[in-house]
Amino acid sequence: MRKIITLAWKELYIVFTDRNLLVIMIAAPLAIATIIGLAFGGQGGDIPVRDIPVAIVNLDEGGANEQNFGSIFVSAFVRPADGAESAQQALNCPTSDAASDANAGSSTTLYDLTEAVEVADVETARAGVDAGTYTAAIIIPADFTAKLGYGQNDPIEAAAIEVYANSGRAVGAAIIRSIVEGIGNQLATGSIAAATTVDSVVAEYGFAGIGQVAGSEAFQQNIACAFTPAINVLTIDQQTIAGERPNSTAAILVLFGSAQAMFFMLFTGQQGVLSIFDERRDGTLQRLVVSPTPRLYILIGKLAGTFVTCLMQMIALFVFLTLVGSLLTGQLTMIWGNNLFLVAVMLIAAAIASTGLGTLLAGIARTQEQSAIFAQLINLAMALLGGAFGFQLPEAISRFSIIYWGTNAFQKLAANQTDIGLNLLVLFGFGIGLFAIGFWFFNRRLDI
Amino acid sequence: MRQALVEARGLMKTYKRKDGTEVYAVQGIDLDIYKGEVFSFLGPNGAGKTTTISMISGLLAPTKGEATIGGFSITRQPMEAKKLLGVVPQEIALYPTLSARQNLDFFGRMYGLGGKELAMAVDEVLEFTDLKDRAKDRVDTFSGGMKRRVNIGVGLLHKPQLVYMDEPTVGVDPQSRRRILDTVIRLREERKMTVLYTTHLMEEAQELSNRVGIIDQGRIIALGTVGELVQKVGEEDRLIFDVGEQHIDNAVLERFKQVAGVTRATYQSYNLKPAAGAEDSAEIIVEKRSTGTMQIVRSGQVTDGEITVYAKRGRKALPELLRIADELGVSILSVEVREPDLEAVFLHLTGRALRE
Repeated sequence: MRKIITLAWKELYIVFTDRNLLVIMIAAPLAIATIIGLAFGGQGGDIPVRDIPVAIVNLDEGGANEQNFGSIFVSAFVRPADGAESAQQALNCPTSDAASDANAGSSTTLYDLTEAVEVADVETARAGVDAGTYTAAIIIPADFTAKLGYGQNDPIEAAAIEVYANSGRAVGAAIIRSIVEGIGNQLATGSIAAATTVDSVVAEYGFAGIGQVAGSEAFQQNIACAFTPAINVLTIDQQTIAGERPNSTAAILVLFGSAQAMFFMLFTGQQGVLSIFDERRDGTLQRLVVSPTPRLYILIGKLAGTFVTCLMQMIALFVFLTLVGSLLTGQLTMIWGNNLFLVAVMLIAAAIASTGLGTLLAGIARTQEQSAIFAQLINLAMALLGGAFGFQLPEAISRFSIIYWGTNAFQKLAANQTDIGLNLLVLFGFGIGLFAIGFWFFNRRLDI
Repeated sequence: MRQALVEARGLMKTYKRKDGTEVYAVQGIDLDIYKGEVFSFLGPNGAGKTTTISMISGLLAPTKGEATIGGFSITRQPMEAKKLLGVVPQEIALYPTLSARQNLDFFGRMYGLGGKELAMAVDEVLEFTDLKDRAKDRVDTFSGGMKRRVNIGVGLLHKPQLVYMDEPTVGVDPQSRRRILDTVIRLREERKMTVLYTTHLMEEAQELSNRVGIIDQGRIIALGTVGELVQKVGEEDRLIFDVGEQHIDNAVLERFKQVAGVTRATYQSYNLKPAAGAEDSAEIIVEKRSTGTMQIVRSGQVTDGEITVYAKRGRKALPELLRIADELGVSILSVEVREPDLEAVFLHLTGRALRE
């Protein structure tokens, strides 16, 4: 173990005493992300995200008792025509009025945040997203109410709403996803509450009691409020990507900062592992092999050093980007969200993926020149697919890049979402899988 | 009876070419290296010296055969065997951005040293290599000679029983070369270390070695002390007469053979006919093998020839040989008298010079 630590420490010492390398590892991605943040995020101001174009397709066929959750969903986004009452008002929830009144005085409402239109069919909505007319299309399925409905002997089932997003507008798309998730949760919660209420009434008064209770004004108001998203989601405070206030600078820093950090970390990971070729050329590898140090230790020490280097690079970049974000917004801003534990886990996953990729390259490349060519090609492809060059390709293609999986997770964490399980799985799986394959090849090549 | 520190039996290394045929780099070497001796492997480039040593030191796995160091098998007990071995590679195998002390410290830890023991070993090596004043300087600021000394120091750090030095004087200036040779002598004399030394310079092998193994085409063709090896070619001197472009016929050689003490006389000319299709090539560079000098000649020219005479007392026969040459109208441009040495042994055994 001592030898592995010594080997890893030597790697770290060599990297972190090389000023040129530090400039490439930390200063370059930091500068790029900051410049992009300044250019596209507003120079230091808190510019709220407004008027995100959204298409809503409501295919919901409704349920018993004239329920139609799809309509409630639409009403949350689409401002009713002058004089017409909103769906919330139609549901007769007094709290929604209070919330509306409160929102009238606040800076931004959901109606301000989005510029939503109801579209008749799915194809038109998707075409609009593809053409860039809309940031996202929200497609409510025909059986939405049927699945969420709270009728007797009608169990609540999982219902899916499709958000078809334009991956070129990642910030806006993330906001829309977040809002849809919020409203969806509210409807599901309401449905469960209603079902529980009905069961209680039946238990207390028998079936005859349902008509009496359901007919009362108080019950109708309460039930309406249970489904009304106005209470929770109409205020912008709960729907921003940064979790606090809509801050485009922070969002851009998260998006491009994490992409640049991951892009440059790929080089670090590969360079670290591929330095084995330098060691072979310089004879230091042979010197290590003839020492009483098992070859496995030499490999693990090298890889451990590279992994820690990658991790430290990412941590340094994330800290610096937080400082940059705070400077630009004029206040301490946790641009990566509040769940520091998950951010740390993600950083580890990203560093493992990068080291794994480097190990594979070191394993398959026969010469130093070959490895350099492979590394550049792979990194450029990853950056291109993963959106590190400032534009994003369709998500289906982006998923081939570890930069995408990292960036996507960091955006979610920045929005205080924690559903990064798939991202972690992909990055850990990617890293460990490539590490195992590369290690096998690599070990064979150590027979100098 | 002398105790062997290194024993190699039937060491063989083969490589497969792309066409599937096998290349024999080392063809079954048997070897004992005794404790406290300097053993030199002498042979031309590509003879198999480094491959043999690489197998003995655990860098390469032998295709067949076995080697032990201090009784430990290098293939089955590599960690134990490697603890007894210090390696000084031909190239400067150091981390250039680390200081001399950091390099020594790092490699010392790789040999299992630590704490005070490591600190003392590093100080001792810095003292031995006369680098104490520059210990904290980065290696990439050192001169070539100083780097060589650190390179040697790393191999001595853990006080190994056997030090393997792979052509350590290649590419170094005469002063540094002398220093390295003195270091080897000190290792043997002061520290009683066993040194395994590879070289293609017979002068070095002759000066340093208790015993020499001459290796060619993957086989040991001669093994023994310098004296024992020289006896293989008898006690004949070689007299080399440079005759330039003159044609020498057999009559001259026959007259030379009649001189007292002369056993053989041969003539060799360098006929530099260009290869077909290359008649117009401007120049051909040839190495004058006997002296190691280089000449540039016009293509197609017959430029040089030399008569080699083997005589038991060469210097005594020389006046008579010169007289005969004068009598037969052979113009002698220069004469070189070579006493028996390892070069002659190699030539005698292989028909080729060491530097070829």
